[in-house]
Amino acid sequence: MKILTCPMNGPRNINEFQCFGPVKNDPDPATTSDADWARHLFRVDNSRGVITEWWRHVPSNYFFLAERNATTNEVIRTFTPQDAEARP
Amino acid sequence: MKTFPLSPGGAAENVTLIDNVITLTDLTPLPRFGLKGRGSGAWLQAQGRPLPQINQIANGVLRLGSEDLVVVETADDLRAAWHAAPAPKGYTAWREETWAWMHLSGPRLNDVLAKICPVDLSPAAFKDNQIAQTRVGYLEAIIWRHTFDGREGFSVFFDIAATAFFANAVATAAREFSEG
Amino acid sequence: MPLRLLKYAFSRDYPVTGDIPATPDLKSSYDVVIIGGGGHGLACAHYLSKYHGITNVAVLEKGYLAGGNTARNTTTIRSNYITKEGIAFYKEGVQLYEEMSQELDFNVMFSQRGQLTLAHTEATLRSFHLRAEMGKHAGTNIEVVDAQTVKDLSPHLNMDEGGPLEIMGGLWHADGGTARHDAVAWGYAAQAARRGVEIHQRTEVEGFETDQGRITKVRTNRGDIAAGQVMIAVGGMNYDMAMRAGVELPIRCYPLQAMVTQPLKPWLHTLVSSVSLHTYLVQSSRGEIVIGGGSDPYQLCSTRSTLDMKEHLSEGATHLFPFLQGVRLLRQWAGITDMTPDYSPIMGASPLKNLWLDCGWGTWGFKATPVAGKYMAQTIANGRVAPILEPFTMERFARFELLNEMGATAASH
Repeated sequence: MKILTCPMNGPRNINEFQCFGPVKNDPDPATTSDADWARHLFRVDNSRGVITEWWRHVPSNYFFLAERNATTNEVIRTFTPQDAEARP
Repeated sequence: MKTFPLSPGGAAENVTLIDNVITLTDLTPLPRFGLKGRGSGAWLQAQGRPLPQINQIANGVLRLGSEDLVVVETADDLRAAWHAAPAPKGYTAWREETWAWMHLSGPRLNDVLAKICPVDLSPAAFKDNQIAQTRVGYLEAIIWRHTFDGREGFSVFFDIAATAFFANAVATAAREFSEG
Repeated sequence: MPLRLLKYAFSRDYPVTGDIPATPDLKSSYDVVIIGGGGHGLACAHYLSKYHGITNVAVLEKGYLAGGNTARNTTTIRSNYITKEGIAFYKEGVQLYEEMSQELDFNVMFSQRGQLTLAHTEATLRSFHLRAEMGKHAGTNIEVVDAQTVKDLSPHLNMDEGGPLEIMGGLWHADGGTARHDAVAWGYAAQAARRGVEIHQRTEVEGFETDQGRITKVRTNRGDIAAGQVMIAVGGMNYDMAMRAGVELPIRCYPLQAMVTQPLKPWLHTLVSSVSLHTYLVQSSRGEIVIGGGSDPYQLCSTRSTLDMKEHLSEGATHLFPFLQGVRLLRQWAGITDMTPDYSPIMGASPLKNLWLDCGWGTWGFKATPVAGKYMAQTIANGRVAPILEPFTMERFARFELLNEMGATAASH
């Protein structure tokens, strides 16, 4: 089975995880038009290169991020939101 | 008086727990107290309960996340103190209501666990103070090394609604070792 | 009349005739350019040429004819959906399959043997009642049946009485069936080609030129083409193809895996699927048991197969029919499904005036091949979206008018 490395629980079978899809920016409800709000809800990054996704380790309910190639399925790295903020 | 799944009137009343090559013991009625959220760690420390590292157990405290804790010893006094305390103190995670607690022991324990749990729980790989949050018997579960009533083995927390399913999964996995 | 086979049998010299002409030279201009030589594109070409008198049509296919998702699906044909718009659309799809061999003078081996979807829980049974009532209201053959009827319909099923996956009943859809996927595509292609439609294999669309909201040129690896109207029907590549025209589709790609066993004598006389086990089975006319399930759990643009999914499907299949345990797997494959947020397709207009979409077919495309072809052709010929397709417009997302077919689609084909 494919192994994904959870930042908190270490390497685990991928069936212990749930994918929450590519990261989206949070639009401002006060200033976003209806059309843009619909796009935010329904449009998802479907590009074939490296995508950044939310994942959840289900038994511990731990959310983290992963960079994964959407064509080769190679996981480049997994990290926490704090790691992402600390990045230059 | 609470009704637990395996007790008379419970949802899993007629389920028998395996007791041959592996022994399942239901510890669900034992006290435990779970706290979650901001402030829970600090409050528990203030009660004289030092916090272990994440995914470790020490002095009856299981640490499941930075602010996700379960106390498995002398929980009743602690619960009363928590209810009386002012915030911030986290919030109660209702672990005594939502989780079943089973103990596994027996001569073929390692063989059965190797079939139903993907984490290597052998003594060399899994230390006494470690916790694994993983799957056991197809269920999301928390497992740690625990000697209960003089029997070396493991304790497992899982969704209380799956009590019968878990007992069945363990018995099914053990069958190949008990037959033949 | 489908007398071709009979004539052939009585012919003296058994002449060999090619159904599909060799790829001709590309002309500089066509009235209609259809991108994608799969079932949908070829069906549209057939309907354009036969019913709308439009024959200056080019079908462009990057690889070989019907080699994409037309060849990679599991050929389930059914109309047991839950929205009234979805049922009306798929119901006509089933009817067109019933007539297809006549229509095309080509045996598509349509076998209307019925589909049995199993309920292992009370909750599933309740959802079946809703689907059955919606279906009956729309005039399809569908009913909720009890466990005994399930047993009668499929006597080999493990009912798991008293077990965790006890079969409590089922959704019996007598209209459901299966057909030979190659024959469907081939039949449409042969008919269209006979009327002058050009089929260009190994012709890849690399981009578009647009001017004032219209596509003016289609750029291919064999040269540029001017086109009056353009339709996109490229299955798992729809998102990428639309992006080349600057059109953004709310689509995510997921692999869908399937596999077949070695051929067995006929024993499975219906399509059987289980909602809880995410597994469905059908016996092909060759005797192989075709086993499929849901899409992969996370997005990926790859047709790789995984051991995990084979284990999962084998577990489901051998639970339902334990005697399959000793049977060998013969083949495995995957297709890339273009999933929409509401599990319904996207058909009709695009932001470009002469670009028409036949996209978002996820895991439900094969059954819609004739009906999508028929009404996309009508849409292109009239320059106006056919009424039956209007609910499937891409605009529905901006209007929050979704057609939620998740329950009737994702778990049980």
